Amino acid sequence: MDTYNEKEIIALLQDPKRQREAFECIVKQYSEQLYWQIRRMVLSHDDANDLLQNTFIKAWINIDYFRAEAKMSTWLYRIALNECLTFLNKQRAINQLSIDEADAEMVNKLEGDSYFSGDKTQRLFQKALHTLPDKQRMVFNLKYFQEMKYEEISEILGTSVGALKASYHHAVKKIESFLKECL
Amino acid sequence: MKEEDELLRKCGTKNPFTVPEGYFENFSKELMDKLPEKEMPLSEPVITTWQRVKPWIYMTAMFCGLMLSVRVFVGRPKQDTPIFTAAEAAEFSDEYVETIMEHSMMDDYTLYQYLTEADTETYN
Repeated sequence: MDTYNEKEIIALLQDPKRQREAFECIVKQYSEQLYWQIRRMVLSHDDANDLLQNTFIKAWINIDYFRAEAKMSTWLYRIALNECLTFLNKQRAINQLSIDEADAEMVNKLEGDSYFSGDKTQRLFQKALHTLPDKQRMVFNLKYFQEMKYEEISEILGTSVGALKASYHHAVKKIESFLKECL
Repeated sequence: MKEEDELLRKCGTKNPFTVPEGYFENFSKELMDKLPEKEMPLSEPVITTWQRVKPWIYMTAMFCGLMLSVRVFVGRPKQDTPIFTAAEAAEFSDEYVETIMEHSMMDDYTLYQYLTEADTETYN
Protein backbone atom coordinates (compact mmCIF):
# COMPACT_ATOMS: atom_id res chain seq x y z
CA MET A 1 0.00 0.00 0.00
CA ASP A 2 1.93 3.05 -1.27
CA THR A 3 -0.52 5.95 -0.95
CA TYR A 4 -2.36 6.46 2.31
CA ASN A 5 -6.12 6.27 2.01
CA GLU A 6 -7.79 6.59 5.39
CA LYS A 7 -11.07 4.95 4.32
CA GLU A 8 -9.24 1.95 2.95
CA ILE A 9 -7.05 1.70 6.03
CA ILE A 10 -10.03 1.82 8.39
CA ALA A 11 -11.74 -0.89 6.34
CA LEU A 12 -8.62 -3.07 6.54
CA LEU A 13 -8.45 -2.55 10.30
CA GLN A 14 -11.76 -4.45 10.59
CA ASP A 15 -10.16 -7.54 9.00
CA PRO A 16 -8.17 -9.35 11.72
CA LYS A 17 -5.88 -10.88 9.08
CA ARG A 18 -4.89 -7.50 7.65
CA GLN A 19 -5.11 -5.38 10.76
CA ARG A 20 -1.37 -5.39 11.37
CA GLU A 21 -0.59 -4.40 7.81
CA ALA A 22 -3.09 -1.52 8.05
CA PHE A 23 -1.63 -0.38 11.35
CA GLU A 24 1.86 -0.31 9.90
CA CYS A 25 0.60 2.12 7.23
CA ILE A 26 -0.79 4.32 10.00
CA VAL A 27 2.56 4.27 11.81
CA LYS A 28 4.45 5.23 8.65
CA GLN A 29 1.97 8.00 7.91
CA TYR A 30 1.86 9.68 11.32
CA SER A 31 5.06 8.79 13.18
CA GLU A 32 7.09 11.81 12.06
CA GLN A 33 4.49 14.50 12.69
CA LEU A 34 3.60 12.99 16.06
CA TYR A 35 7.27 12.73 16.98
CA TRP A 36 7.90 16.45 16.45
CA GLN A 37 4.83 17.39 18.44
CA ILE A 38 6.04 15.23 21.31
CA ARG A 39 9.64 16.40 20.97
CA ARG A 40 8.65 20.05 21.24
CA MET A 41 6.92 19.22 24.51
CA VAL A 42 9.59 17.08 26.16
CA LEU A 43 12.73 18.38 24.35
CA SER A 44 14.79 15.17 24.77
CA HIS A 45 15.00 12.75 21.81
CA ASP A 46 15.11 9.67 24.06
CA ASP A 47 11.99 10.75 25.94
CA ALA A 48 10.21 11.66 22.72
CA ASN A 49 11.09 8.26 21.23
CA ASP A 50 9.70 6.44 24.27
CA LEU A 51 6.52 8.47 24.26
CA LEU A 52 6.02 8.00 20.53
CA GLN A 53 6.31 4.23 20.94
CA ASN A 54 3.91 4.28 23.90
CA THR A 55 1.46 6.28 21.78
CA PHE A 56 1.39 3.71 19.01
CA ILE A 57 1.33 0.74 21.38
CA LYS A 58 -1.69 2.24 23.15
CA ALA A 59 -3.31 2.92 19.79
CA TRP A 60 -2.70 -0.70 18.72
CA ILE A 61 -4.15 -2.13 21.92
CA ASN A 62 -7.26 0.04 21.56
CA ILE A 63 -7.57 -0.03 17.77
CA ASP A 64 -10.77 -2.11 17.97
CA TYR A 65 -12.40 0.76 19.87
CA PHE A 66 -11.47 3.38 17.30
CA ARG A 67 -14.66 4.92 15.96
CA ALA A 68 -14.33 6.36 12.49
CA GLU A 69 -16.40 9.33 13.67
CA ALA A 70 -13.11 11.11 14.41
CA LYS A 71 -10.15 11.24 12.06
CA MET A 72 -7.30 8.85 12.73
CA SER A 73 -4.91 11.82 13.13
CA THR A 74 -7.17 13.43 15.77
CA TRP A 75 -7.31 10.19 17.73
CA LEU A 76 -3.53 9.66 17.57
CA TYR A 77 -2.76 13.25 18.53
CA ARG A 78 -5.05 12.93 21.53
CA ILE A 79 -3.20 9.83 22.73
CA ALA A 80 0.21 11.40 22.07
CA LEU A 81 -0.56 14.67 23.89
CA ASN A 82 -2.04 12.82 26.87
CA GLU A 83 1.14 10.75 27.03
CA CYS A 84 3.15 14.01 27.08
CA LEU A 85 1.08 15.52 29.89
CA THR A 86 1.33 12.36 31.97
CA PHE A 87 5.08 12.19 31.39
CA LEU A 88 5.69 15.82 32.31
CA ASN A 89 3.65 15.54 35.51
CA LYS A 90 5.46 12.36 36.45
CA GLN A 91 8.87 13.99 35.87
CA ARG A 92 7.98 16.86 38.18
CA ALA A 93 6.68 14.48 40.84
CA ILE A 94 9.75 12.21 40.67
CA ASN A 95 12.18 15.09 40.86
CA GLN A 96 10.00 16.90 43.40
CA LEU A 97 10.38 20.11 41.48
CA SER A 98 7.93 22.92 41.01
CA ILE A 99 6.58 23.44 37.51
CA ASP A 100 8.96 26.38 36.93
CA GLU A 101 12.00 24.53 38.28
CA ALA A 102 11.24 21.44 36.21
CA ASP A 103 10.80 23.40 33.01
CA ALA A 104 13.97 25.44 33.62
CA GLU A 105 15.90 22.22 34.17
CA MET A 106 14.60 20.73 30.93
CA VAL A 107 15.64 23.78 28.92
CA ASN A 108 19.06 23.92 30.59
CA LYS A 109 19.67 20.36 29.43
CA LEU A 110 19.46 21.61 25.84
CA GLU A 111 22.89 23.16 26.31
CA GLY A 112 24.62 19.79 26.21
CA ASP A 113 22.12 18.02 23.98
CA SER A 114 23.70 16.67 20.80
CA TYR A 115 20.32 16.55 19.12
CA PHE A 116 19.74 20.29 19.52
CA SER A 117 21.28 22.51 16.86
CA GLY A 118 19.65 25.83 17.73
CA ASP A 119 21.52 29.07 18.48
CA LYS A 120 21.17 31.37 21.48
CA THR A 121 17.92 32.86 20.16
CA GLN A 122 16.44 29.40 19.71
CA ARG A 123 17.46 28.42 23.24
CA LEU A 124 15.82 31.56 24.58
CA PHE A 125 12.76 30.83 22.48
CA GLN A 126 12.55 27.34 24.03
CA LYS A 127 13.01 28.88 27.47
CA ALA A 128 10.15 31.29 26.73
CA LEU A 129 7.96 28.44 25.52
CA HIS A 130 8.58 26.53 28.71
CA THR A 131 7.25 29.37 30.81
CA LEU A 132 3.83 28.53 29.37
CA PRO A 133 1.55 25.97 31.08
CA ASP A 134 1.66 22.59 29.34
CA LYS A 135 -1.71 22.85 27.60
CA GLN A 136 -1.08 26.40 26.45
CA ARG A 137 2.28 25.30 25.08
CA MET A 138 0.55 22.48 23.20
CA VAL A 139 -1.86 24.94 21.59
CA PHE A 140 1.01 27.25 20.67
CA ASN A 141 3.09 24.43 19.14
CA LEU A 142 0.17 23.09 17.10
CA LYS A 143 -0.74 26.53 15.77
CA TYR A 144 2.68 28.19 15.36
CA PHE A 145 4.86 25.32 14.16
CA GLN A 146 2.34 22.98 12.58
CA GLU A 147 -0.09 25.69 11.36
CA MET A 148 -2.97 23.51 12.43
CA LYS A 149 -6.46 25.05 12.14
CA TYR A 150 -8.23 25.97 15.35
CA GLU A 151 -11.11 23.62 14.51
CA GLU A 152 -8.73 20.67 14.35
CA ILE A 153 -6.97 21.68 17.58
CA SER A 154 -10.41 21.96 19.16
CA GLU A 155 -11.20 18.35 18.21
CA ILE A 156 -7.89 17.11 19.60
CA LEU A 157 -7.94 18.99 22.89
CA GLY A 158 -11.69 19.21 23.43
CA THR A 159 -11.48 22.97 23.93
CA SER A 160 -13.65 25.53 22.16
CA VAL A 161 -12.24 27.49 19.23
CA GLY A 162 -12.77 30.76 21.10
CA ALA A 163 -10.81 29.54 24.10
CA LEU A 164 -8.02 28.31 21.84
CA LYS A 165 -7.76 31.66 20.06
CA ALA A 166 -7.54 33.44 23.41
CA SER A 167 -4.96 30.96 24.68
CA TYR A 168 -2.79 31.36 21.58
CA HIS A 169 -3.04 35.14 21.68
CA HIS A 170 -1.91 35.20 25.33
CA ALA A 171 0.87 32.71 24.65
CA VAL A 172 2.30 34.88 21.89
CA LYS A 173 2.17 37.96 24.14
CA LYS A 174 3.92 36.14 27.00
CA ILE A 175 6.68 34.83 24.75
CA GLU A 176 7.15 38.21 23.13
CA SER A 177 7.50 40.01 26.48
CA PHE A 178 9.88 37.28 27.78
CA LEU A 179 12.11 37.68 24.73
CA LYS A 180 12.04 41.47 25.02
CA GLU A 181 13.40 41.23 28.57
CA CYS A 182 16.14 38.76 27.64
CA LEU A 183 17.30 40.02 24.25
CA MET B 1 -1.57 39.27 14.37
CA LYS B 2 1.10 41.86 15.08
CA GLU B 3 2.80 39.98 17.96
CA GLU B 4 2.91 36.80 15.94
CA ASP B 5 4.55 38.58 12.99
CA GLU B 6 7.18 39.94 15.38
CA LEU B 7 7.79 36.48 16.80
CA LEU B 8 8.02 34.95 13.36
CA ARG B 9 10.54 37.59 12.42
CA LYS B 10 12.71 37.01 15.48
CA CYS B 11 12.51 33.24 15.87
CA GLY B 12 10.92 31.84 12.75
CA THR B 13 9.59 28.28 12.57
CA LYS B 14 12.90 26.57 11.89
CA ASN B 15 13.23 23.27 13.74
CA PRO B 16 16.27 23.37 16.07
CA PHE B 17 15.87 19.70 17.02
CA THR B 18 17.55 16.81 15.21
CA VAL B 19 17.24 13.03 15.31
CA PRO B 20 19.73 10.16 14.94
CA GLU B 21 20.40 9.14 11.36
CA GLY B 22 17.79 6.83 9.88
CA TYR B 23 15.53 7.23 12.90
CA PHE B 24 12.25 7.65 11.04
CA GLU B 25 13.13 5.05 8.40
CA ASN B 26 13.70 2.40 11.04
CA PHE B 27 11.02 3.48 13.48
CA SER B 28 8.02 1.66 11.99
CA LYS B 29 9.86 -1.66 11.71
CA GLU B 30 11.16 -1.46 15.30
CA LEU B 31 7.73 -0.53 16.58
CA MET B 32 5.89 -3.30 14.68
CA ASP B 33 8.31 -5.85 16.18
CA LYS B 34 7.35 -4.63 19.64
CA LEU B 35 3.59 -4.71 19.10
CA PRO B 36 1.88 -7.49 21.04
CA GLU B 37 0.11 -10.17 19.03
CA LYS B 38 -3.63 -9.90 18.96
CA GLU B 39 -5.70 -13.05 19.50
CA MET B 40 -7.58 -14.03 16.38
CA PRO B 41 -11.29 -14.14 17.16
CA LEU B 42 -12.76 -17.67 17.24
CA SER B 43 -15.33 -18.52 14.62
CA GLU B 44 -18.86 -17.69 15.71
CA PRO B 45 -20.25 -20.43 17.96
CA VAL B 46 -23.13 -22.45 16.49
CA ILE B 47 -26.17 -22.46 18.73
CA THR B 48 -27.98 -25.81 18.45
CA THR B 49 -31.73 -26.29 18.74
CA TRP B 50 -31.21 -28.09 22.06
CA GLN B 51 -29.36 -25.06 23.44
CA ARG B 52 -32.23 -22.81 22.39
CA VAL B 53 -34.92 -25.08 23.86
CA LYS B 54 -33.00 -26.08 27.02
CA PRO B 55 -33.92 -23.07 29.18
CA TRP B 56 -37.65 -23.50 28.43
CA ILE B 57 -37.52 -27.23 29.23
CA TYR B 58 -35.72 -26.54 32.49
CA MET B 59 -38.34 -23.93 33.40
CA THR B 60 -41.20 -26.29 32.61
CA ALA B 61 -39.62 -29.09 34.64
CA MET B 62 -39.12 -26.71 37.54
CA PHE B 63 -42.74 -25.58 37.37
CA CYS B 64 -44.00 -29.18 37.29
CA GLY B 65 -41.82 -30.07 40.23
CA LEU B 66 -43.14 -27.10 42.15
CA MET B 67 -46.77 -28.02 41.44
CA LEU B 68 -46.12 -31.61 42.47
CA SER B 69 -44.55 -30.47 45.72
CA VAL B 70 -47.51 -28.26 46.48
CA ARG B 71 -49.90 -31.17 45.85
CA VAL B 72 -47.90 -33.56 48.04
CA PHE B 73 -47.46 -31.21 50.96
CA VAL B 74 -50.71 -29.27 50.85
CA GLY B 75 -52.90 -32.26 49.80
CA ARG B 76 -56.03 -32.62 47.64
CA PRO B 77 -59.43 -31.83 49.00
CA LYS B 78 -61.54 -35.06 49.38
CA GLN B 79 -64.06 -35.12 46.52
CA ASP B 80 -66.44 -37.55 48.26
CA THR B 81 -66.68 -35.59 51.46
CA PRO B 82 -70.34 -34.86 51.97
CA ILE B 83 -71.45 -31.35 52.59
CA PHE B 84 -72.77 -32.45 56.00
CA THR B 85 -72.76 -35.71 57.97
CA ALA B 86 -75.74 -37.89 58.82
CA ALA B 87 -75.61 -36.63 62.40
CA GLU B 88 -75.82 -33.07 61.20
CA ALA B 89 -78.64 -34.01 58.79
CA ALA B 90 -80.67 -35.49 61.66
CA GLU B 91 -80.67 -32.12 63.41
CA PHE B 92 -82.66 -30.50 60.59
CA SER B 93 -86.35 -30.10 61.36
CA ASP B 94 -88.99 -31.57 59.05
CA GLU B 95 -90.32 -28.10 58.23
CA TYR B 96 -86.84 -27.03 57.16
CA VAL B 97 -86.48 -30.05 54.90
CA GLU B 98 -89.93 -29.48 53.38
CA THR B 99 -89.03 -25.85 52.63
CA ILE B 100 -85.83 -26.92 50.92
CA MET B 101 -87.71 -29.53 48.89
CA GLU B 102 -90.25 -26.97 47.72
CA HIS B 103 -87.49 -24.61 46.65
CA SER B 104 -85.55 -27.33 44.85
CA MET B 105 -88.81 -28.39 43.09
CA MET B 106 -88.01 -31.96 43.91
CA ASP B 107 -90.92 -34.45 44.03
CA ASP B 108 -91.05 -37.51 46.28
CA TYR B 109 -89.96 -39.89 43.56
CA THR B 110 -86.90 -37.76 42.67
CA LEU B 111 -86.02 -37.50 46.34
CA TYR B 112 -86.32 -41.31 46.74
CA GLN B 113 -84.03 -41.79 43.78
CA TYR B 114 -81.53 -39.33 45.18
CA LEU B 115 -81.51 -40.99 48.58
CA THR B 116 -81.03 -44.51 47.21
CA GLU B 117 -78.08 -43.35 45.04
CA ALA B 118 -76.40 -41.58 47.91
CA ASP B 119 -73.49 -43.16 49.62
CA THR B 120 -74.76 -45.32 52.47
CA GLU B 121 -71.81 -44.12 54.51
CA THR B 122 -73.54 -40.78 54.88
CA TYR B 123 -76.38 -42.48 56.81
CA ASN B 124 -74.20 -44.60 59.05
